[in-house]
Amino acid sequence: MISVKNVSFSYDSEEKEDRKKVLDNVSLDINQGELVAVLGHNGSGKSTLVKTFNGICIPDEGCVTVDGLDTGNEENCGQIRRKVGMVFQNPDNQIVATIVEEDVAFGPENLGIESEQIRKRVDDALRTVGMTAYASHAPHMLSGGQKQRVAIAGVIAMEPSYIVFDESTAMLDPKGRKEVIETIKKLNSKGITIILITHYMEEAALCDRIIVMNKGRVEKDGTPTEIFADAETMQKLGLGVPQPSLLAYELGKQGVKFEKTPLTAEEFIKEFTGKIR
Amino acid sequence: MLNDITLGQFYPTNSIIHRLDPRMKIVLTVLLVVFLFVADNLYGFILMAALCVLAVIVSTIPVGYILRSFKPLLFIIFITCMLNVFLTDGRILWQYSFLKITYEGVYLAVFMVIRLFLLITVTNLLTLTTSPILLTDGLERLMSPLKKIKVPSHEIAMMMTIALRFIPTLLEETDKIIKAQSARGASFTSGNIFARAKAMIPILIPLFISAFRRADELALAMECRCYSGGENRTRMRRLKIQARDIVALLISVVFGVAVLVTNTLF
Repeated sequence: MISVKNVSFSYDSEEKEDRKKVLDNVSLDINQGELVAVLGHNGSGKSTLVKTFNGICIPDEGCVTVDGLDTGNEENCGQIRRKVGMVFQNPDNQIVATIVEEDVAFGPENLGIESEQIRKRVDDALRTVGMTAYASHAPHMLSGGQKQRVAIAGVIAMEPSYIVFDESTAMLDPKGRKEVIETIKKLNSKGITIILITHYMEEAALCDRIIVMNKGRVEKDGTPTEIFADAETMQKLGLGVPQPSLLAYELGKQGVKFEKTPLTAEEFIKEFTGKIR
Repeated sequence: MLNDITLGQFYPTNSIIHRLDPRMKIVLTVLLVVFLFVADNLYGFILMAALCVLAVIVSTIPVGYILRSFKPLLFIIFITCMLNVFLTDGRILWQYSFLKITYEGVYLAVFMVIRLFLLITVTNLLTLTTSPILLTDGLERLMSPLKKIKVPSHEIAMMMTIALRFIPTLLEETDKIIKAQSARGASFTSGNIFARAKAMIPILIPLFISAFRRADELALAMECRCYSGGENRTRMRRLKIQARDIVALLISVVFGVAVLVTNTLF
């Protein structure tokens, strides 16, 4: 479990008055096995929030613990980063080696694992993301989605319990995005906890839980159905809702009440055709 | 134009030379270069040339590939040759005003040319048969004893790997910036050399800024993957000296000894 307690954080700035709290008294728990989306417009503190999970950002106040390990304690740093993997936005800037399998091996090599064991982990990781055929390719020859899957393989080769995706689909085309999302769902079904930062509401709708950040605070925390039911608040926060949810919300204002906010076109059709009959 | 670059000049054929241990290949290359400088008579050069031809045949790399690597250096070879021919004192073969060709000059020039061609072949064979990653790996391990005298061998190898990794990425970026600046009306092909050099500034500045940003992100990603320098780090690939490495070493040493013998005999 990742547990965040009364965390405040601000980046170092030259002038003291300039220091704005990026995180302001945030508390939340992320349970084992969850698939959590973190939403929020730019500057809402969502990236900073996930960076406190593996000790990249150490809270000024409050504390973050990962399976009971405090990120503020430097001795825990290695163990925490082994448990919490991170995949970033630009796949180009997180691939270190000139050959796919060498890059996947980078993490386990840093952990000081035996070479046969590394080999096995690398093969397993590449199989999980479906990139086995590209093991000996050069990364720059791959498409964006493939590169991002290599980056994911590099993280899962370290066998983390949690993986944070920091807008990992933002730079990809629709096909690449689909590949990555499918990989994420597969990893979650294997029991890895996923924290997904995204700007795509369709991706957030696939999650078990959504955390909405605004001005460094947790604005909302609930299931997608709960969160997207309130289309007005979401739009006020500079975020959208999936189109079917928005349509249901607008229809609701006209007196057509939906029992459960639909998240996908299929759900919408199911509810709506029920009403017509 | 920037798309069709290959990383290094690695030519994969999986020949026995390709499969040699990279450390052994680096050592052998250094050894052969030394032999080439030691050789000072025709028989020595014939031996070395035979060894090079043998190596090229065994590597199954097309001869055209090797010949192509001579091209950029032909000018230097030509200059060296001319300097040797005209500037060596000795028995005069031909003279016209201040120009003279001596017997010793021709002799030296021929040896110099053979030596240069063989040097290029030997060093090219190393890069043609060894992938960049194996090359850096081999270098890192060869240099690792130097850690005792505070040579950062791991760090040097890491920098080389990252540099190799980012060459294509930054080339792509340069291409993009050139197109973006051209679209804003920048011209890179007109004007004199100074105007053209000045026109490079709007390409270089964005490129540098982006490279620094990339470096920042890469460092963060590496830290997230538990990178903390070369200490306690293991490697997936194990390098092991095998029978073929010993055989290659023996062949080279035999040739080297033969060269030394010809030196004393002739």
